[in-house]
Amino acid sequence: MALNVLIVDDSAVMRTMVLRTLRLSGLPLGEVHEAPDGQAGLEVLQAHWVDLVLLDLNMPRMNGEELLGEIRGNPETASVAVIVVSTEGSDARIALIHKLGAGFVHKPFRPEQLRAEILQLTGMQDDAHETSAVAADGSGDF
Amino acid sequence: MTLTRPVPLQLTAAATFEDLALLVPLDYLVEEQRDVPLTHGVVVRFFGPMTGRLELRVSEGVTRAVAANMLGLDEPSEQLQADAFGELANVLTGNLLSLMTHAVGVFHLRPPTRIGAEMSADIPVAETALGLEEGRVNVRLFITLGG
Repeated sequence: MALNVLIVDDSAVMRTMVLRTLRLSGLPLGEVHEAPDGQAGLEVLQAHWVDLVLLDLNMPRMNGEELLGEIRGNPETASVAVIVVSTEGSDARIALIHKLGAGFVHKPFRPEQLRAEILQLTGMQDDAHETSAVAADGSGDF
Repeated sequence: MTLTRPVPLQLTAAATFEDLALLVPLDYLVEEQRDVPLTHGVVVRFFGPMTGRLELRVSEGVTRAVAANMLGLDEPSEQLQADAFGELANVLTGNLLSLMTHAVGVFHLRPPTRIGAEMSADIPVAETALGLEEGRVNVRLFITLGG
């Protein structure tokens, strides 16, 4: 199954890095959408089928926590897999993210970390792994 | 403001350059690096349990290397260099604040903003310099309230 992905981050550079890391992770990707804030992300979710949302926390207009709340509050998107990708270090805030059923990956991160979190959250099998995609020397670190 | 614990600025800055931009800085400057002029600067302001700012300045060529490695591009544009440099400062600030507060408290970070290479007369609570190939990196942490 190819994953349709939405990357929500106010930094275009970080969106590019997240996508690059996703590609290095070896997971099958379908459509990839990007949004610069939570509000724009919500609009993408209303218009497209998305399997996985990779979400920053600190963003203008609508932040990551607010978007996560909107996703979980809508029956049509409540079961979408969400992973927060952030420098956030507050235990309380990370606990809240987990309570809302989202995964958490700390920036900077490696392709294998992102892959493991996606597999755990989506229940995908690990047989799609293209080992050559992840650099053995760790040069894909982010 | 006086901090009661040492700030892990040097370690955090070096780790961020290494993990995010695949660049391995030295935790000291060799003679040639000391005289290299700083040419690019960025500031990240933060609010929360502490209020302040982190200023990051680098010499010519560092922003290009940062952007090239972060984005996998041979010749990143000036804009991409500035954006990647700002994102690195953002990640450094977030991770540093987490370490300083032992993951207690929520900080809000403003988007990175370009600043001049000239340093102000303000006195930082912590400052570090890293050597990076033929260039150098300077990081200054200012805390104005809270803590």
